[in-house]
Amino acid sequence: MTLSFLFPLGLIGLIGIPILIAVYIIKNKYTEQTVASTYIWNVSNKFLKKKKKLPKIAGILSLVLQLLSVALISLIIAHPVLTYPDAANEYCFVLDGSGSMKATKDGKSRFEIAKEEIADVIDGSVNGSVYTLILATDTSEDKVFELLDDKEEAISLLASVEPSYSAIDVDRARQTAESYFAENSLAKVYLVTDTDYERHENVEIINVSRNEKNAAISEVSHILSGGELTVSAAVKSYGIEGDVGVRFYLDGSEEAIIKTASLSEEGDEATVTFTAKTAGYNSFRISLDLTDALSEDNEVVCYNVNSESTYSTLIVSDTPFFIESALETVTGIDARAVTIEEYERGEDKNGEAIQKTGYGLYVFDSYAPESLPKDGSVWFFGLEENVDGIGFSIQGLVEPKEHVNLTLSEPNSTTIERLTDELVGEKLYVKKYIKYGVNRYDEIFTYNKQPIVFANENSYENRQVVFAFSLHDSNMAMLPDFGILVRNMVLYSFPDILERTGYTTGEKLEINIPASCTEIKITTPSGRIEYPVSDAAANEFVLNEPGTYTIELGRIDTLPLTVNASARLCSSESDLNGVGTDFSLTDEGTSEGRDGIYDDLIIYIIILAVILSLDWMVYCYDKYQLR
Amino acid sequence: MNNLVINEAFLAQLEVLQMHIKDNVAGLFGGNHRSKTHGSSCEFDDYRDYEAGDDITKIDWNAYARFDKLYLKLYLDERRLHTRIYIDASRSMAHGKNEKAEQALRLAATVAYLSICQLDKVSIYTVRDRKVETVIENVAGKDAFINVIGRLNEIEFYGDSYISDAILPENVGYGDGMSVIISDFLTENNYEDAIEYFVGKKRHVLCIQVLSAEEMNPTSRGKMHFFDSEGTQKAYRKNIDRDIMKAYREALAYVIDTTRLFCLERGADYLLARDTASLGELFFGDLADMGVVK
Repeated sequence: MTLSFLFPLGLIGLIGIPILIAVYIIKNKYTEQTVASTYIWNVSNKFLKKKKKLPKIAGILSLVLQLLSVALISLIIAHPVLTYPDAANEYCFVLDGSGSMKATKDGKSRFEIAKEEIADVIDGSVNGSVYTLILATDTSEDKVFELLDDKEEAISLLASVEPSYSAIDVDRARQTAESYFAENSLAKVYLVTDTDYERHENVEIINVSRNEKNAAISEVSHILSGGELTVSAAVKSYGIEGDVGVRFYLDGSEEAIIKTASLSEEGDEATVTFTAKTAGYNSFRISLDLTDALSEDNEVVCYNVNSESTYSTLIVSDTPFFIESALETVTGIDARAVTIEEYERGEDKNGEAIQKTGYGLYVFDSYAPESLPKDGSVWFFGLEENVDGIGFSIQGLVEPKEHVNLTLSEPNSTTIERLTDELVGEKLYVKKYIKYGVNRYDEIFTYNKQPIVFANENSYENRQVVFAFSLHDSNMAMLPDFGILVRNMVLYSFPDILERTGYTTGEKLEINIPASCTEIKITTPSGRIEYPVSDAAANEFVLNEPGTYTIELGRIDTLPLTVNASARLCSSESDLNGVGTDFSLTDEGTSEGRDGIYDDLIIYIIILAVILSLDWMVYCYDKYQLR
Repeated sequence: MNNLVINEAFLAQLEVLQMHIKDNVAGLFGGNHRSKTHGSSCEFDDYRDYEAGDDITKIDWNAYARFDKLYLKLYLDERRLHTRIYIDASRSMAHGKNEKAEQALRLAATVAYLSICQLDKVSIYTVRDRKVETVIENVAGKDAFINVIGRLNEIEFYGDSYISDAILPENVGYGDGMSVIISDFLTENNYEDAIEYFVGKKRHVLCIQVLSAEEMNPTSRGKMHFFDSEGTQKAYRKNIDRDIMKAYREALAYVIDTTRLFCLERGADYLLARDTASLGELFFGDLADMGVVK
């Protein structure tokens, strides 16, 4: 049996014992005093009855009780713990589930070694012991099992846990362990990690780091300009030294451009640059040509945000040539043109049915549909009749005596800036136009402060671009600006589903769900399929694995939209020899819970209360003569 | 020693009081106290038959006319008494804040003044160790008294007190007035013989026991080692608790009662004077109640 103290500093209180004795000795000295006469005092001896024994020993009894009180208080503060050699124990394991625990050496990852260490402790413990396993990840500190008293089951459950690919929140993990420790102060708490902590109280650290070496792609940037894609990749050394081959793959090609990054020492970072002639791209991949401890940070895939969408478009026009031609220049557009008569009839000249819904964009040229499409953006050219929900009113046709010159608007909002991007805006004339009454809009071209080309949102919250004239009444279709404007309008009308395609593990997906979306399907790198039930749920989706995520957005009566996003390993996890500052558990104790501090000390506290009461009684007996 | 706290208002009040001496007394002529013998005062006492040689001016001629016999009118004689005041001047009387000593001097001065007012002679003595020392002797008349009363302030309190040993060898007079002993009587030494000596000398005896507030109700508690102010060989060492205090109070009552009973049994008057008691309380209260003054 061994006696230990949770807070040995509490024993400093024992200094009070000699102090108390000294005070008692000093206090017990007789006070000398000269009085006028001691005659009456001496006469009083005749009247003094024989004292009982208790008052004679009251002083020493009081001292003994006070000494006991001081000793007990010190013990309570120090919190003694008696440990019996063969007694069952409580074990609490906090298992680091960060990405760096995936580092592998000699065919074994740190996480596997950590599990073996825990299994060894469990296996070597006395029967009857209870075990708790807290898996610390970035998002949660799951208690895999708690107060489990079955060794076999504990080891079995331990075998099933896996680490995450991101950093853990050390503070949160510590708080979880601390709350457990507060309720189970006799438990042996282990932190199994690969981080070296400078300070750890009430926790035994099992460090599974084995000085593994690693290199990682720490940063990737790219620029597409002038038909050339330039990609820069930074490669950082975490123990790997020498030349490292870096491979660049474009658009899924099997052929790689290979360059070399020279790493001279740990912490060294080398940047390699790749250049490829291309007008556009869907994705590119960069990988390191080496085998190190952590393979997850050796590859990065980047997807082009803009190419991750296909835009289905319905053009309703008797003269769709200009619009169709302009749309064809935009990547990803899948346009179908029908005449007004065909549209109203519901089938084309070949007898093929015309679906009136399910498009991302509806273009109505000099035609007012019976109802406004609910599931996509809308462009109107020369709309002369009112349609419910368009968000503006038609005030009549204006036919100036001479053609009028339209003015390009100043880019004083993000929307206008996007729509007027690269436009020249010169020599654009209109023979006649329709005057619209509109309150909220972003104008692109104006005449005499009248919005002639503008964008707004209709009552279905779909984006809308309105031309107050027919293309045949203007020279716009002849100008280079038209193609640019159509491209801008397409980008405006089809907002990017993904704001960005590059993420870090642990981040949440940022996705813009189109109004026409009926279902969201996310396929993870490991092949797991998730179906977020709402836009909010999709935006709460955490990218836990490194690799490519495929997001499919199902739509009514049409093919789903498919976009890709990639997640790379959290860069902090590439450093396999991390150092922490503190992982100490303070025993704040609660009155609840099994084996809490209250349970341990209650007997001491009761004894202390009894002793203090006795001392008070003796004091009163002695001082106030309670007899 | 502080000046005596006897103001004019108090003295004016005292003038209405008279010392009442038990029994008719001896003494010199010209006093204010009736004697057992007949004299020349205006207070008629009795008749007796005329005898040859008697003062014929005192014959009651009216009685002769009625009874045809000569009768002599007898008048009470008034004598001057000698008040002797003995002040215990040992250290115990002046320990601490001098309250006991001051009270003793105030009492002595007051008793002396009362006597002077009744045309008596006053002598004041100190008793210290085994000696009696004269402070004021045979003073009569207010003017003379006022002139010498300041000497009381010069009395020093030290040493022990052996009252009987000091007084017995002294001439204390015989039947000519009052003897006043002012002391705390907190001594194992004999004072009883002195009282009996005064009584034997046919003197009216008044014992005034002066005790301090601390002696009446000690405030010391806990482990105390008391030393007697009159000698370090006298000491008391105990843990002062409730039992001790109870015994002390019983002892105090015993000491007071013993002294008082001793006095009363011998026809002497006894007054307990706390050092905090005012002279008004003592003279207009206690002494008046006892009939020592009226």
